[in-house]
Amino acid sequence: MDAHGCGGGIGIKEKLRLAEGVDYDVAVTRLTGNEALYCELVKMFFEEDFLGCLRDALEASDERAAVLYAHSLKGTAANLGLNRLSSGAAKVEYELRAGGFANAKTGFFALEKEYGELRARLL
Amino acid sequence: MEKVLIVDDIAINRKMLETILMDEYECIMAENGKQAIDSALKHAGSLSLILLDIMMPEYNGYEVLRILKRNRLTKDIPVVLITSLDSEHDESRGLTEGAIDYITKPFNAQIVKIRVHNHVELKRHQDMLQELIDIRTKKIIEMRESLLDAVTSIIEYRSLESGKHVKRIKLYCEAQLAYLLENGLFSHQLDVKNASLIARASTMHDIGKVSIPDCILMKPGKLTPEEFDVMKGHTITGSSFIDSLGNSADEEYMYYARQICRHHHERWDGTGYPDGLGGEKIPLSARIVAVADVYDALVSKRVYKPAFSHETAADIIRAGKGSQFDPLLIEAFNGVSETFQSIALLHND
Repeated sequence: MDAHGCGGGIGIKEKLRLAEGVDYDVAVTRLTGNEALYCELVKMFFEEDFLGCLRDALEASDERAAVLYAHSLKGTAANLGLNRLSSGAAKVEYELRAGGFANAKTGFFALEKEYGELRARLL
Repeated sequence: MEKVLIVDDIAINRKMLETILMDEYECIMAENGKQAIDSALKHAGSLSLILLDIMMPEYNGYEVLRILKRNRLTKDIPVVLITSLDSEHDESRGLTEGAIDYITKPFNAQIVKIRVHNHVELKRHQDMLQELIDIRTKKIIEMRESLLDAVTSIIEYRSLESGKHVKRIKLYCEAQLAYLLENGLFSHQLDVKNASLIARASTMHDIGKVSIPDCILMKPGKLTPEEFDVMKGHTITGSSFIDSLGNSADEEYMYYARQICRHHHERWDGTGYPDGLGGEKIPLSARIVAVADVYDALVSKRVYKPAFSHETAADIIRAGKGSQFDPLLIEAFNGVSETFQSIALLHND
């Protein structure tokens, strides 16, 4: 096990590296090559349940909160190289800002699907 | 280690930034605007930098920034904003509101590290420079005062045994002014700042004597009316000299010096010289120096008289209440006459 390895979760590192829509190398480089940190942060990301918060906000028709959560989800996913997830969230944010709750909800379902698949694949 | 405050509502972002910076800085975390402001105030003296996210629920980054910049304790801490790449207006707005720089998400660890380092270094240098400037300024002021004291003492030296008269006059004036300030007398004319200037300007009161010839200045006997007229001229000579100096950086100081030079021989009852001013028409600074000057002449040995005791001198001063001196200043003199006595003893010729 090398110094930068992901400890007990050998699996997640490999899965991340291979997952589509995830830019592993760029993300790890951004963290000055710290693979262990990267894996830990990805786990934290899924624990945070951004998606749940966004879902609640959309259901409550709370535009301000929904924009905030979509924006946070977009930014954090981008930080972690989860690029496909990030664009999905960006779309939702854009729709919300443009005023279309209906379109935003459609975008959200697509995002939710993507999120669920990625999560299942990694964890 | 220098301290950095990291403000972001997203735990992952906080973790990333902390990990990037914790080798070199002590990281203090805040999850929202309120925590950010509380932490900033708590660590104000030792915070080198604040990393501030813009998009946060409740207080957003701009509001936090505005509050930080308005508070005297936190306004000088450099703030680096955290923004998203897709909102350019964020950056310019943030910078105009007082942020020093911004970093974009997604984070690049190298860039974050370097930017933070550069701004922390910059702040450190600015603080060092300010400290150096403060020390230098203080030194310059001290030097100038020494110079002026030396120059005025030289002028007095011809007619007096030593240059300590000038120093004593300044101290007598300081004592009177302290009493006046403490007791709220002449409060519409005096404050701590100009009181200090008046005391310092008092050293110039006799610079006009440089124009008085030796035979008059050092005559042991009584002066003839003509000789006395020449002697009286030192008031006008002194104030003209100050006029001739023109505009200087020390305008307020020179303003008082001129008044003192010209009017320190006026009398409250209007029978003084050179202008025969009376009562409150005589500038306050000159009235104060008059008391000091006469007292010092009384307790010192001069070519034309021996030194009198403190009690004798004090009686003579008091006898001048309302005639030679401002009655309020006699009240002040009574309040500080012991101080006068110790000044005369401590700094005698």
